[in-house]
Amino acid sequence: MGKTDDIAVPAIRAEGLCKTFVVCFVPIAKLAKSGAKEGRPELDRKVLPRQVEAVRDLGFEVRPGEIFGLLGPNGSGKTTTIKMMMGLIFPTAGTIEVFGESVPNLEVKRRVGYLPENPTFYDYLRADEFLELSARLCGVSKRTRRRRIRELLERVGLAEALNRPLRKFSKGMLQRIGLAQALIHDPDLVVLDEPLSGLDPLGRKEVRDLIGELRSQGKTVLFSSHILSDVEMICDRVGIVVRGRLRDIGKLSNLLSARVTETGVVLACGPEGPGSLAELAAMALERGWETLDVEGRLRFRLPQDTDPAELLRAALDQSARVVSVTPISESLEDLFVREAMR
Amino acid sequence: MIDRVLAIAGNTLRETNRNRVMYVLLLFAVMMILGSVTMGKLALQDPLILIKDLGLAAISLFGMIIAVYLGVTVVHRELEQKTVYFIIPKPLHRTEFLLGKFMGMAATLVIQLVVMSGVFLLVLMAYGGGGSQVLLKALLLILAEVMVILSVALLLSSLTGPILAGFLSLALFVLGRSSEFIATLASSGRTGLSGLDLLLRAANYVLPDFHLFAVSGAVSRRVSIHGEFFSWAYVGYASGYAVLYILIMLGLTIFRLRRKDLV
Ligand SMILES: Nc1ncnc2c1ncn2[C@@H]1O[C@H](COP(=O)(O)OP(=O)(O)O)[C@@H](O)[C@H]1O
Ligand SMILES: [Mg+2]
Repeated sequence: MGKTDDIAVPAIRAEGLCKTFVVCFVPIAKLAKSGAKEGRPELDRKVLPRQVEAVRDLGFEVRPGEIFGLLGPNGSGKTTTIKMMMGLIFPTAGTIEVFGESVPNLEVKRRVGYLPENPTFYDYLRADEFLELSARLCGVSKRTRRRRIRELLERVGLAEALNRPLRKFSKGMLQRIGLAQALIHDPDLVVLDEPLSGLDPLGRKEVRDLIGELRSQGKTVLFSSHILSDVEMICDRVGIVVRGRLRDIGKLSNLLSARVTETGVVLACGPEGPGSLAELAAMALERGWETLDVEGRLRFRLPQDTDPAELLRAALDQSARVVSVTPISESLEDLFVREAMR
Repeated sequence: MIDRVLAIAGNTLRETNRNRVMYVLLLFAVMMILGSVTMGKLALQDPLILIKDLGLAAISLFGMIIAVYLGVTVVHRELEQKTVYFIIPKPLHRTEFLLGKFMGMAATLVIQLVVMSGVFLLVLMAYGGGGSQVLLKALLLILAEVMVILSVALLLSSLTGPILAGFLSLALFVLGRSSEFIATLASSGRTGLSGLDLLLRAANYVLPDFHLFAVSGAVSRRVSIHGEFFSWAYVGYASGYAVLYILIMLGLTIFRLRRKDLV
């Protein structure tokens, strides 16, 4: 159904996307007080029109059939971007298109399934009633609804909870039923905001598998996460968002391995006692290597262009014990921290 | 489109049916209707007159309270509990969502009024009275009135928080009931300020004219205040006014929420 057209049209395309929230009534009294204390009288105003630039000049494309991870620390603007995609909030500037149409658009909505972040649903409904409502709103024909609901409940592991009210659902169960409602109309694009949060390790694996299944069915998946290990296993490409800006986009391996930076060496003292390590520490100080003393072990971080052989030879001379030698590539966490520091 | 609106409406009805507050309010209403019997017995005249009077007043009062409660909480709760994140991205327009919500609340009110009227009728029958066209007309006017209140409360809740919206709705109800008084005051020129007169007159145009629907006193005494007060034509006129007012309120609410950020 129109699949050939879809190849040409990106599933999602954002360009120059900006969102600024105007926060008027920040805890005024508190801010004014702290403003006065810090000697910042500009904060000491009656009403403080404050703005939060949640998303700034964001641009990216998601191709049909790919699994795209939106990656970034908390508060970096992932949810805000997704909400604009879903027509829940409106961009301050820029455009966001889904299947080539600007949103919100009814025809586009028919082809999209969405799982909100930390979802809450109508807690007065039972699981089956809730999915029935979802199916009806999405135009799933009456005949197929029952079968589809059973199928999906089975697939997300909630078959036994069919008759239970959502009020009694745990966070993980809400996440699962949220996945079921997002998939009820067999959408072409599935948008999942932090789909793995609130799940135990087994649940995380199940959801990852489910996303893999969606890929094999030719669906496009966009999901957000702040945890690297979630995305590295399943994503075709990722966009790294930090402070509302797209920091990088591409295959994760390309993004991070290009930044392999250091070699980690861990040494323990040999039979001759801790004296040996002291000498090595002095050597590190001389060369400007970073060291860390942990429980009688000495951890070195050698810059990328340093051959560890020199240190290892010295260690052998001192008859220290080599515990490990590891190349350290920059982790996403490092990247986030580095970005946050700027 | 119709099916989606009905789906939302049906779900809203389900929500209100499973809300305990509704039953508490209904219980109070029933108690007040039953209480009218005791009062009726104390009356010197025909007890039926007082029972009718108090019964209709109870239905009107609790209809109003339920309408305000629904209007200021139901849509607000969707925003508060973030269920809009589920519903709005579904293939429907925001307008359909709002219409569905309104229809669901309206259906809830109809059910509540039917239950209250049923109890009322049973009480009347127990005292040798019964239904009549006049009573039916009076109940229809109450229905029209509570629908108007519902739409006003809904609009206000889209503009401000639920508590303030609730109080404002009640205030508007009181002012709207006083429309006759305000009109008299404005035309008498007794305020001595032409500016104030103008303001009052303008207010009378904007405020819902709840006086149109105020009927209970007239029913009980079986004399109408105006000559054709209880004609079907009058009921039709008042209903038409209500429908127009509701459409304007809904239009404004939709306009307000059409492109609002749902954060
Ligand atoms: N409704 C809002 N009003 C004001 N600020 C907001 C609002 N929503 C989000 N923000 C701010 O925008 C930034 C991005 O938030 P969000 O998109 O939720 O980040 P993420 O999903 O990546 O954790 C944060 O600084 C957050 O505080
Ligand atoms: Mg988020």
